[in-house]
Amino acid sequence: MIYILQETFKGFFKNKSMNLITIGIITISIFIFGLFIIGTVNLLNVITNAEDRVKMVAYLKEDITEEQIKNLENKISTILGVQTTEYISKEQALEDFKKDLKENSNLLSAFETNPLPPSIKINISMAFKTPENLKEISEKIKIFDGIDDVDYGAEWINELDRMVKILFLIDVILGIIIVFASIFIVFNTIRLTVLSRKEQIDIMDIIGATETYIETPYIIEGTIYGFFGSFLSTIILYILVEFISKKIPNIIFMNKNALFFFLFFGTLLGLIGSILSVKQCIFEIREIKKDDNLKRTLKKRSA
Amino acid sequence: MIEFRNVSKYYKNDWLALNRINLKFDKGQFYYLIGRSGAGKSTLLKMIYMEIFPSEGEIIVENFSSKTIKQNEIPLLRKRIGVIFQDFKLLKDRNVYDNVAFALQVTGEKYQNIRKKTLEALSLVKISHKRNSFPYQLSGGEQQKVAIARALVKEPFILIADEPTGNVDPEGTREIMDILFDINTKGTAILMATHDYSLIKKSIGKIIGLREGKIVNPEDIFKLDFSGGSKE
Repeated sequence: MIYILQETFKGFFKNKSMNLITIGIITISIFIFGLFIIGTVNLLNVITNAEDRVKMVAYLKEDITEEQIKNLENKISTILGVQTTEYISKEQALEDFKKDLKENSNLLSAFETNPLPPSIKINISMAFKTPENLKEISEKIKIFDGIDDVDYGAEWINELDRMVKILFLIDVILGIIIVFASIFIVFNTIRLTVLSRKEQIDIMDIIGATETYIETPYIIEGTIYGFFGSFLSTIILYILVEFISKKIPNIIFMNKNALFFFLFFGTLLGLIGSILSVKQCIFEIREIKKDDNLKRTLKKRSA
Repeated sequence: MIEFRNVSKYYKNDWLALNRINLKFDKGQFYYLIGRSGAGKSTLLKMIYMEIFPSEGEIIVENFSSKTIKQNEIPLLRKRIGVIFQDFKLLKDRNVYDNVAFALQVTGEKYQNIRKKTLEALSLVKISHKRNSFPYQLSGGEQQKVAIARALVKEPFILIADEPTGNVDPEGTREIMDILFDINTKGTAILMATHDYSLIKKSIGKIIGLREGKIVNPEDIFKLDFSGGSKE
């Protein structure tokens, strides 16, 4: 084991420029993956915010009694998907409206009486904020006595839903492409570092080193590359996000869990990349040698 | 201890690198494998340490058979066989001592034994004084000595030498040959492939002739090569 660590250490410091290039390439590919993750996190954030604003309002008939209101609130609360309800009286509605209009509130003086109907504000739980569910809930509410109309911005919801679906699809496709590209790049980069030490592997193989002995230093090295790569790219991403968020607020960096996953993913990428590439390289070196020898013999004989 | 049983090797299904070879190598002997370039010498040697496998027939090396050996058993086999090459195959980035100690490290030798065994092997080939030099600082003959030390440090029962003096000057060649004979008298079998017939001491070893993948009478090879046939 001591030797394996020594070999790893030697390999790491002997080919400095090669290692820097390798770490650089891995950093870049993981950085792109990180950009994608941040993009996704922010996209999800935007969607959640937008969906958060989805509210359902049930407008009540003007002649409604307080008892009826209580009754209605109870009935609405039992509908699946409804979280809370809140009664807004005519007066309250006017107050809110005035607040919304701010300095233009004097516009309301054109009305002699309060034109706003009483209403019940309905908070819908997140999972039910789809066009189908909202429609279903609103239709259930509409048939209750005392309800004038139910509004939840149907058109806007449909548009949002369509957009979310498209964005999500693009995001998933992009994600798959990026993950495969990163694996491919990391795999090939590590492969190059392994192949650059082909001679050494060949000698070890002939001397009688076990495969574990030959492979382990490269695997440890690859894992370290993966870790460093993801670590570096995390730092770069963090700086980038800090910079951007000064211009566009509300940009969020990965949360702690995502960050941990990200480092883990990069390290895992290095580990898997190096296991695959070193195994393949050893196999390749052996095959090349077999073929080479026979080809050489053939060439000499025919000469 | 090493036996070739009807071994043939095809290349791309039609061309025969080796053709029905039957051979036996005994412990402690000195064998010369002679033949022109392309006769199949290297192929034959590589089959002993199972870098190449026969297309037909079977090779037995101690308890291993080419038919049944598993990939993870090959290192065990190679621990028992020392190999040296025309191009030495030393690790350029480490010194003489490390090159030899390396062979013990990778085969799982105990830490306490490595230094002692390495120094012994180096003194056996008379290169101890250069143990801190790097391969590029050594002559061809010296590099080959290091390679021999690296092969011997594992205490193999046979040393396989593929044109060991091909890149060595005449003086170095003589030294290398002396070392090989010396090792042999200490009990290690030697199998040396060469097309330099001047190296052969007929009194010491057995000669095996190889031509176009077939075993032939070595006298025929000598005759042919000295009567007009080019040596290389």
